[in-house]
Amino acid sequence: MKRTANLVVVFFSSMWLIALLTTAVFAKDAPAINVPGGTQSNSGQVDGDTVWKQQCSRCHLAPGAINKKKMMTISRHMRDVAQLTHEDYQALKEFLGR
Amino acid sequence: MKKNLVALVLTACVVSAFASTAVAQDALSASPVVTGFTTQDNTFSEHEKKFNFGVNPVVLVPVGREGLFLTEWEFGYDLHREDGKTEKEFEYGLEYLQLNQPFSRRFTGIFGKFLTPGMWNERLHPSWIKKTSYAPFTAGLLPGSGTGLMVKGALPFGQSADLTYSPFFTAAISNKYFDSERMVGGRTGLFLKNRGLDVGFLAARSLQNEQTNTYGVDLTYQLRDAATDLRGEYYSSSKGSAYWLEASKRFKELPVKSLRRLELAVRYEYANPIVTHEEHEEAVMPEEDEHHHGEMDEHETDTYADGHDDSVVIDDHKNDHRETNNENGHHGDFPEIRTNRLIGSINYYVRDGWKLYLSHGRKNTPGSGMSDNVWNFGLAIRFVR
Repeated sequence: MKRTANLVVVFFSSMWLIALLTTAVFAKDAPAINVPGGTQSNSGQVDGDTVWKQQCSRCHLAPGAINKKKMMTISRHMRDVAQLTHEDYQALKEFLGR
Repeated sequence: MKKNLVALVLTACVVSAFASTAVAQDALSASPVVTGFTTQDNTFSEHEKKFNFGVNPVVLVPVGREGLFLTEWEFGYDLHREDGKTEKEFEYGLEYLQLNQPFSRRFTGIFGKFLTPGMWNERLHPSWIKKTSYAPFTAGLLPGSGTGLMVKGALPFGQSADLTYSPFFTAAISNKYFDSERMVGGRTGLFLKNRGLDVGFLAARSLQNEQTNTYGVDLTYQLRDAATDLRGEYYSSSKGSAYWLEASKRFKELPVKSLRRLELAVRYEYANPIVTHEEHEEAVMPEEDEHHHGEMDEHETDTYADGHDDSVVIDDHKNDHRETNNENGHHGDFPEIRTNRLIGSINYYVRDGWKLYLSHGRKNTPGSGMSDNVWNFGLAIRFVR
């Protein structure tokens, strides 16, 4: 019984892995956020593109297409994880929200 | 059981309350997000085979103009075969559940259960971000999370440097989900943004039992033109000390586009535990009777009274590669004997948040001639909904 249960788990997990791999290989890349170019924040001092390159890229690549409202929420999360200054956070929000 | 149910219900209520508040107050600028990551990991060594599937859902709910409620849970299923015996285990737990509320430009209050400060612990531990599949030994020297209050912030020095700070206090709580140690500490870092250099210092003091201190230094150096990252940490506590150094290189200059998603990473780490006489004897003679343990307990008391001078550093050849249990929400294990490990990893980023990896780790006990080779491969995916 245990062996059967283990086999079932292994089978389904393997199928899951194969499905993911197949999807990953054949899926088209989602359009990335328009990273190049950069913007000027309201203060005129901090560039959102620069903030992206200096802070976000330390850990991960540019994410795929994400709803802007959700991106604003994720920005709040990253503000605290990456410990962005207020100025960098505002510039990043403006950049990601375009 | 009842306590667990109460905790779950309370959590659900808090999430719902914040969600409704968020929708009412901040509907135009931010909306709730369900994100997280899933991992399928396979480990093979001479003695064991391990198959793991894990999901870490993260819920982010905006609160008011700039606040954020966030929680991460961890669910994992392990199928483990060692020396002919098969075991399976389903684990779940709460990583964090917190409210982040900025109360000025330079300070954000964090309330609830949160990840304790530390470069690897806070930023790098998710499976889709970390470069090698093992948690470093340093992660076993400080609780990975705690329940209490933290203040985070950053102070800019012109446009080229930021000073970051994150003092925290956590309370002593015994609960399946909110287990926490009474502790005070913090991390401060200097990030030279133009150079990609970040140096951080961490100190924490446990305020329960033996009241021990933990110190740490971390370093990140991003060579952007060469697409190379250098990282490292050194931690020292009453359990011992450990460090790790890691280099990772991507190949963005390659002419073949698909190969630009390739990354090579190498990490070397070393753990030097401090072990009391009792732990030493237990490690050498695990089958001793209770009477003998009683004698060692008395000796143990004397050892603590005399301080660390009486402690013994183990490098006994009879020991195997035992590691401590993953207690108090640690994100990693700290070995009981002096150990070093060299890990090489090939990562392939199918797209952002989709990482295929293959790694090989070789763990040694210096002087004993004992070593353990471990192969590891899997897939980590970050999702956003």
